[in-house]
Amino acid sequence: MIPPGQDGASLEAEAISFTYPSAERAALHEVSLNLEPGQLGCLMGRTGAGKSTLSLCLNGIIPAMQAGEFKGIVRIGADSISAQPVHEIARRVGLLFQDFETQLLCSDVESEVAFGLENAQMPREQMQQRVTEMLELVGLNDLRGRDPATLSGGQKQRLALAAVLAPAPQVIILDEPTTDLDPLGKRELMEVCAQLRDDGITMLMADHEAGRAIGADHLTVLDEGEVAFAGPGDELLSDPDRLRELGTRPLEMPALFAALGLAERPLTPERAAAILSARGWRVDEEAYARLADEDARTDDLGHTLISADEVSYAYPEGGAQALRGVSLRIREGEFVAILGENGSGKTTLAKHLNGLLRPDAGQVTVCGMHTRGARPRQLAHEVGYLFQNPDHQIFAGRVDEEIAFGPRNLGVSEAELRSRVRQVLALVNLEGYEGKDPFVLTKGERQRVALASVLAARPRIIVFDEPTTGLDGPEQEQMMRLLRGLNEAGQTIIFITHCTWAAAEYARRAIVMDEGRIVADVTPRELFGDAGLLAETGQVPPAVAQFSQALDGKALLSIREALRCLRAPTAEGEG
Amino acid sequence: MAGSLYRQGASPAHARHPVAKLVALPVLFVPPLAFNEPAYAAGALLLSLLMVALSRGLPNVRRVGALCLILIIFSTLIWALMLPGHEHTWALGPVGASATSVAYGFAMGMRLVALVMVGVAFVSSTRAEEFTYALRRAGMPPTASLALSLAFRLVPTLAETAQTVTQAQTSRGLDLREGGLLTRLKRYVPLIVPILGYAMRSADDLSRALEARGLGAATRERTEFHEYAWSAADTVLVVVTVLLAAGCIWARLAGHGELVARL
Repeated sequence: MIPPGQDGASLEAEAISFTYPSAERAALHEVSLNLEPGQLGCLMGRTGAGKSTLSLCLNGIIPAMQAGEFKGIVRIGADSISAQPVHEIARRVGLLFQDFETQLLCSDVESEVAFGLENAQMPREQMQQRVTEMLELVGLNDLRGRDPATLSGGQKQRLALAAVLAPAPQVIILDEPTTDLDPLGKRELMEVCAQLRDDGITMLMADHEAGRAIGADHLTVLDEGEVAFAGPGDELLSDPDRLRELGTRPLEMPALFAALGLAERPLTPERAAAILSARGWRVDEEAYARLADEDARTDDLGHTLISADEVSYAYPEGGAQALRGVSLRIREGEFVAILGENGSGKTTLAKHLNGLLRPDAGQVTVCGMHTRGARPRQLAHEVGYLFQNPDHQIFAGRVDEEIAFGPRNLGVSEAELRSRVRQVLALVNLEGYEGKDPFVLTKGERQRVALASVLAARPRIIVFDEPTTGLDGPEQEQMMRLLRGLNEAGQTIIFITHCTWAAAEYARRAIVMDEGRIVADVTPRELFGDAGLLAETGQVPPAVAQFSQALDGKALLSIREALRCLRAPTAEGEG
Repeated sequence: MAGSLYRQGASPAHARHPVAKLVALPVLFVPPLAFNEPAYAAGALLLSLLMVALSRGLPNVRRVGALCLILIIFSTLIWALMLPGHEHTWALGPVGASATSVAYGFAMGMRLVALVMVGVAFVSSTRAEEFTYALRRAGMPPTASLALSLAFRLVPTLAETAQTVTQAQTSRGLDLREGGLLTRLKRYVPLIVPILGYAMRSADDLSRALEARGLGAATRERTEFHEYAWSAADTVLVVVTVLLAAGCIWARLAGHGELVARL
């Protein structure tokens, strides 16, 4: 599969420092990193810690194409590359960008893979063989004539990887490669990476998810541009508190064992279940039954706010049939997660719930209004919509102006506006940010500004499209807690997510979509406790649910639930 | 969802050599440019639609339908009133129209639409890589030809972003149809700022992606993944289109298809 001569080389970064022009502090300060040939390294850290900047330094884009102050040396094997042009370095170091779609340049799959080979002046026959090998490696050989724009997110990501691999680099750097992928897409990409590792390619993977570092040869954690941890991954992964301090959501199993007061720190659900099972731990039937009773509670829900009946929709100009006869009811006070693979119709459905899209067939009613006849402004009063990327909506030069935009459009008075801005800034923990320029804030802060601007309009329902994407672990948890707080205060929340732990731990209802249809509309416990349904819908349960299934055939959805329900044999522990 | 106009599949136009298509493109502009008499202009329009059909591009006609309608309506109106040197049959002060000016305007609308359709036929059957290849064969430097074809790629991406941004602001109660001209213009600011920001980031990301995939090395020479063989059909395409264009020019010079003595 991998041609001769593509053996991995060592990757060494020696005391790399970089400061962006007019930045107050260095993005990287004396960062060193060393991977032996064929090793897998993992790079973690909170948003803004310097992961992407370091990735750009390792393939020469910094300093060659980015202004700023650079110091340090990058070596591939014995050669220093820092002074070489990027296109020369590209032959030895492949970089899969965080926003992989910008890396796709061509109008069909095979041309995309061939692009780098054409630049390297590879003869056509050799190139055709190489393209076929790469497409086989990433499982896209059947799609070689397709336009990359028509592929799913996971397929695009694998195509971008094939294109990076084609010129046979000795080192591959993957900058948050799984961010936008559904669970199936993540699994497929990781399988390809595992094969590359077997083939001896040196790889460095930057990621937010601690699980990605399990089994890595080396883990580096950056914090504010400096190395906060460097060493074997498993050591840090076993320490939930330290991981949280460093801006990463801890693995659930070590966190559970720490909370149970047990000494072991198993990293995987299988191992955790094996340890507790051997000691006779069980899920308490009564406590578990109480959870199921709580799941079934509907007395705190109000009347129906949204109803969709047999909704079908196809994108114009011969676009895909995105919805096929979808029906659902959303009641006041619900907290609903919409799950499904990339391209299954989640966002299309969500955009029907506030009239951004109108059904081709069937009808959607929001607070008594048919969306087909209602004006967007009328619907904006009732339904707020938070887009995945806050940069698609932020335009004002000040945070308070940005937040006031929505309610001002809806006719709220200036005095009332000022009061609302203060209130929502407090709600999203951004007090004192009124006069700041939104464009200089971190992604997590911008996401909260966008949320505040939706909250300030006081809609009865808020739809969130991937509220945790692009945020680091603590920011993700903060965002989900914020959503729960809003829901507990009576807000109806609908969120699209690939993050199964967020759906399991926070939602009270899970809708799973596949090829434009709702294939499951159940409680999260019913979804993550049903192996058949999970297999059918391509969903992967969170670690704690996998663990409780393996231990006792039950679906616990959070560490909090596990602490409520796990029982030690009388002689052991305080579970 | 916005997307590229290229239509995947096999058609007589898809099968032609990129250089033959690049030569035929400007030559096929000649028939609509040659005549301003409505019946001839209609003939040129029909010919261009035939080209679109041969390129499997008819579904794209719907995508540019609104533009074509605007071209015909505005062209008819403006030329009906503004055609110089004709006698007004209906006059209102200094402006007026005649059967000739209306016919000229309508013909001009059809000619413009025919030009658009020739372009639609080309982009429906020509991948960006083929376009780049043809430009390089025509002597354009590799990076310049690539930049031109990438610009085509960015148009649908930018259109998609513009659509998302518009949806995001609409969901915050923005209504572009309200108020006077100045108010409406001001209402575009919440759209323009995020779209421009995206465009600038995209351009930056794209230049990095190109370099990271070894493009800098290609300022000298690139090899080609796709093989484009010149066939007899390509020669036929070039010869027939050139003869057709020459015929149109000859016909016009002989006084055919001329409603008024101007382009």
